[in-house]
Amino acid sequence: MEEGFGFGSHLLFTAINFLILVGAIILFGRKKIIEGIKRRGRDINNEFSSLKAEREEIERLKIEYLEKLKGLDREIENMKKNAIEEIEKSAEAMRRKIMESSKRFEESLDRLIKAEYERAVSSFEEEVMDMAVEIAKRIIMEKLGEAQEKRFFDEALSCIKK
Amino acid sequence: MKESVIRKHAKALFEIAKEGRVTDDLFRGLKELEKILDEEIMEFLSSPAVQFEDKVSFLKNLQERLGLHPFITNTLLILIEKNKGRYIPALLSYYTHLYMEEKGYVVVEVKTARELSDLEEEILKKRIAEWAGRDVFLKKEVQPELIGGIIIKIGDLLIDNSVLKKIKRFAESFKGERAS
Repeated sequence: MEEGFGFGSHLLFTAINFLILVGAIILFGRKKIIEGIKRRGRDINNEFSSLKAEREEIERLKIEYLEKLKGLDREIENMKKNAIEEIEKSAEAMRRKIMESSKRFEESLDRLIKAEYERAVSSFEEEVMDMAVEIAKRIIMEKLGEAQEKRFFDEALSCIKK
Repeated sequence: MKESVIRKHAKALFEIAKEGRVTDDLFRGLKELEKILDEEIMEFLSSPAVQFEDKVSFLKNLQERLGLHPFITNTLLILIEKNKGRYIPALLSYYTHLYMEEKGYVVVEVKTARELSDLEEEILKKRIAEWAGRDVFLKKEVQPELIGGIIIKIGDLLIDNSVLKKIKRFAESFKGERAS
């Protein structure tokens, strides 16, 4: 009997002490615990608001970047288009320039060929003329007789007018 | 040296001779000199390879032999010193020209391809004398390259009736036709 009473009373005392402790904690620590829980709740709410704001910011940035990305695509397209137009324009200008140079070169070449041809013809004519003159001299020298010499002499004298 | 420079030398020689009243002596001396001036002597006098002293001694020798007036040798020495010995015949020719003009002759330069006959020369002199009203002195020159015909020069008047001139004129007219 003594053994059963001893254990049961011990448990009871322990339970009473616990309840007293809990009662004391509730009595004296309740306010602080509630304040702590409220503070924690506020912190969590703050964190949640902050996270929500960050999320909204991220969403906004995402939309903004997506818009920018779309703008960039358009810009790249425009740049590509402009670059192709510029290249085509430059190519056309170069082609025109080359055609003009080629035409000028062709014309100057024609002029040069013509001048060379005329010079060659003229030189040939000069040579033929010189040869003809030399031949004429020899023939006249052989054929020139007294009668012709007299005629030249008389002609010269007739130039001396009285 | 240009021809005009030789003319100036000849004129200077003539003026000095006139002042000294020795134009006739110089004319005679120059005619003597002209007779002996052959190709060999001209080569000797005009060659730069021959020493000037040798040319001087040759001229002194010539002066004594031909009785040349010192005016002549001095003028010749000036030309030789300037390495212009080859122009001596031109000097003689110009002096003769001036001398004959001074004597009242009309000087006529005649160039032909062959020697003029005596008759031709006579006819020419007569015709020019009638035209000019003065006696005529003919300066004759034979130039075979003229081929035929005659060139007559009386002062500024030039009559070129040579075959060479006719051929050249024909060739030029042909070239002109081709060009136009």
